[in-house]
Amino acid sequence: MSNVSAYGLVNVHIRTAIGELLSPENWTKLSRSNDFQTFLQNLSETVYSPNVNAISIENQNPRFFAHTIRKRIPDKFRVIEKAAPDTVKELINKIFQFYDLSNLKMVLRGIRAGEPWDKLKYLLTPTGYYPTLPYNAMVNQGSIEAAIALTKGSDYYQSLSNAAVRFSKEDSLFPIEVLLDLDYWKRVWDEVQNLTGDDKKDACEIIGQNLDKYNLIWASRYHVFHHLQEAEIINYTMGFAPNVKDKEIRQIADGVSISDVAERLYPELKGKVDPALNEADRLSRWEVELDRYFAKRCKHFFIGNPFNLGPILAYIFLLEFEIRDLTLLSEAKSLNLPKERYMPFLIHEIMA
Amino acid sequence: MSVLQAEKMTRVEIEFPQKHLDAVTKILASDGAFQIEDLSSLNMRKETKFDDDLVERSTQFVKLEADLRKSMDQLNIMPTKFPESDVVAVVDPAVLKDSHDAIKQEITSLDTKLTEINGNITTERNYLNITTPFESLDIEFSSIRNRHYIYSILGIMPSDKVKRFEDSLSKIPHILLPLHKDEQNTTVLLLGTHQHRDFLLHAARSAYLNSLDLPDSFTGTPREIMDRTKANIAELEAQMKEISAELELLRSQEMTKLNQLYWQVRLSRMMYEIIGRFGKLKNDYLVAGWIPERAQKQFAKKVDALGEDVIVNLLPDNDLDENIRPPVALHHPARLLGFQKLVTIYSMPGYREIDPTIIVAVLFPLLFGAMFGDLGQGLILALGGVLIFRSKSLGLQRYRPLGPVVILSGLSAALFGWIYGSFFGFEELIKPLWKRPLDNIMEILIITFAGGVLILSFANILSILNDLRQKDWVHAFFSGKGTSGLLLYWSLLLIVIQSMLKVTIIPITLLELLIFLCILFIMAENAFERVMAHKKPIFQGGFFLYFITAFFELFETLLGFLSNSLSFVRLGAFAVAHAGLSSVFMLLAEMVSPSKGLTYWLVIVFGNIFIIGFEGMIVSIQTLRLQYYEFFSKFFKGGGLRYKPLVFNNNPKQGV
Repeated sequence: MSNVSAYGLVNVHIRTAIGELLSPENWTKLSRSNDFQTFLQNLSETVYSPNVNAISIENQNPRFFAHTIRKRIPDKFRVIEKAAPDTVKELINKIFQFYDLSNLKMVLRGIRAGEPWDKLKYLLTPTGYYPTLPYNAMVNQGSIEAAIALTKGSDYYQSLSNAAVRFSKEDSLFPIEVLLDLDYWKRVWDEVQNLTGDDKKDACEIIGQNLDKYNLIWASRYHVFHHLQEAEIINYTMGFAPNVKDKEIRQIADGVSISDVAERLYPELKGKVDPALNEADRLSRWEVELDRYFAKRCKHFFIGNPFNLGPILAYIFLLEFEIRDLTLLSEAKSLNLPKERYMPFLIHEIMA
Repeated sequence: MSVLQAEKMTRVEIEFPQKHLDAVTKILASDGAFQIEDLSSLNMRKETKFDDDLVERSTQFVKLEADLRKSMDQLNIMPTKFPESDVVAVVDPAVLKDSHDAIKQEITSLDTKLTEINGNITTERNYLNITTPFESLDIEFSSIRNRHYIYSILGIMPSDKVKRFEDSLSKIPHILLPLHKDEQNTTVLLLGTHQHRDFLLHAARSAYLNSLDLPDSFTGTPREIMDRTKANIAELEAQMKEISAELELLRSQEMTKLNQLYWQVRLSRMMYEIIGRFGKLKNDYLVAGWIPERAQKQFAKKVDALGEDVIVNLLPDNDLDENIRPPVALHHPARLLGFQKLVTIYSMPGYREIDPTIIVAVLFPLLFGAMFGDLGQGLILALGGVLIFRSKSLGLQRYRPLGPVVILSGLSAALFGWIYGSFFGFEELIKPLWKRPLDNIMEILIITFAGGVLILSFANILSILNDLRQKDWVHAFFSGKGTSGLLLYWSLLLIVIQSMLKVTIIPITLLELLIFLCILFIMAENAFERVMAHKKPIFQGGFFLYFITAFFELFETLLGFLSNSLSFVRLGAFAVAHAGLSSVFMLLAEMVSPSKGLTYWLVIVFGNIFIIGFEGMIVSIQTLRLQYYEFFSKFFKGGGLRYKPLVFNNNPKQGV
């Protein structure tokens, strides 16, 4: 009963938001656009109309487009967070930090590459109401160490300080980015453990699936591309993921294919990825298949009792997938890529 | 200014030469009413040196602001509130930089010494952490780290990574000794064989284990090392105390000056950020934005006074293209802010749309009261609303706007309670002004259905008015939410009423003709739109496809009439349910205490509290649902852009 009152208002918002997600017909139409201009025109007939109309002619390019549509994310988060019960607000805030974290990694890469702020800012996800780091000032510092100093007091400072020693020795952002990711998901998972009842059950399932996916992908990447040894792969993955645990990670480190491990964990995905592909290609296809599987699982949360955390989290991830696919499509259309080149990488399965 | 529409806005475009750049910027920034548009993408200049210099200056101000914050942080000085009177923006960052540099040098020198001492203390404490576990061993420390047979790594790693690190080493022989642990970090000693040296090194690195290099002075027994280390720490702490005192003195001397500098830099930086949004024509600058109509005269006067070479173009909203969306400024008194919030949670009203706040202020309490009718409970709710509105408690301040919503809803519930004859659940204490819901269920349901018809018709009229304001004639007359839809709805209702009551108010033939015409118009709406917009073909996708689509849209409209109308029956249903719930508590109370003793009244009180809380919440949700889904969806498109004028923000964490 208390859940009805707690989730009543946010449920209204979520139901509205779900209705705004692009339909299969929308995706088909967008995919069939001849070029980027037509793609924008078709998108302007959907709920993204204000975002598309805000793009001036000079700025009609995929980079600016992606930056503009990503403005929906903090707006939606803010509406949901305001209406959500207090017990889950912190988790929602922490999930939004994912975008802040992505921005932080992008800024650090930009500093390494000597990119000016004017170019870099359009690669970042707008954070709207949410507090963020002083990215402009960080870029202006010109060095990673000085930029890290400006993050003091934030959730990221400890991770950055711990990894800074390795950065100065190895002159690579890899240890920083890995530690930022590990510590971020640990904070999210700790927050999930603070929940109770159905909220905790739903959050464990949704966030847990994410952790499993990242463990699988990271472990495979470290083995295939970085040729790391088992102990390193263990340390660079999450020990608290619900299903992909050390046993699976060790198997991947020993050379077992990601397909074998993933198909055992997710029998529904058997045969989805062509075994004839080389390991690197298989890995990128598995990333997409796992996201597709996850997106399908998210949709199940809108059936049944709507008065808990499940629909909120499911919607958040579905929105992210939608934005990601729109970004990919925009790039494909601007490059006039044939559909065979980009369809395998779309999370939404579109009718040709 | 009408209460039913957003404040009228005027579009402002200002073209001016470079020499007026600072003056115009200051006017825009200090006026407090101007909402600027970002025209930074407009750049018609070949020669960009001056503008590059502006960008450079903006960057310098950003850096200077960061530097100042750093200096203030080092001295533990928090920025004060924006000192409105005596802060003036400057053009040249070098002017402020020089003022800051002298203080910065002093701070940096002391801070560097402090950081060095802190670093040394941390190092010494790490040595203490390393040796403390071995305190009781009366042997040379170096023999513990015998590198002849055993490979060891001594270092510090994040505490939350220790367990995982241990797991990662499970396949090789090793010992991982945590020597000292705090919340963030753990000092560990890792022992293994030389055979696994590479494995251990890679694993340690991946666990972010930063090795500690021990100095040559790390000789002697652990106890001797500890004694020396403690003495070092004491000496360093004394030095730190001296420097901290110097910093504190510097802080008290420079606090005011630093705050002054900070706000000057911040103001200047904001000014350049505003300039960054200007469009650049070949020789001039272009600024565009919006200002409320009431403020335009004074604003234009200030800008005009700069000179004849400044061109100000003021475009009232009715001269603008319909696709241009002015920002929306809603000005309601404090007592209506709660209702405004109920509207803006749904969406910001469009500029040319009717602002439904005042309508919600009437409708919401009306619907709530109809479902929650009880004189006593309504008055309690109203009292609660008064407490919320007048409370000075910090915890309740954020709910203050909801106070009037609760007050009016409570008063409406009290009025309906009087109409229904219910007082704290007692149905016999007062005579109903009209009828009791439980005794007249069908009648209540029919009346609330009729009320719903009236409300839906009103919503339809609002939709027509909105369309007329936006000059969308086709939608106003031909759509399912326009005149045709409204006439169709009324015609169908009249046919049903006439057949049920066996009366003839309007001849059936006329009604049937009207229905036919309305259906035709509704189905032809899209075609009319395309004709008016000179688009071809008129029937998009062919006539057959158009017809099928129009048919199903009409079907949806008709279904909507029925479902939306029936939805209002819940008003009656909840009124009955409210009375029913009250009577349950009465029954319970009588069962518990037939003699109506103390327990009887306890049950009555608890029941009322439960009804006010639980049913009050459910009825609020139902009211919101009727408001948003049945009422707003008929006429309210929303999507307005919130009016955000340029103001210098007092919050040091946020920008312009």
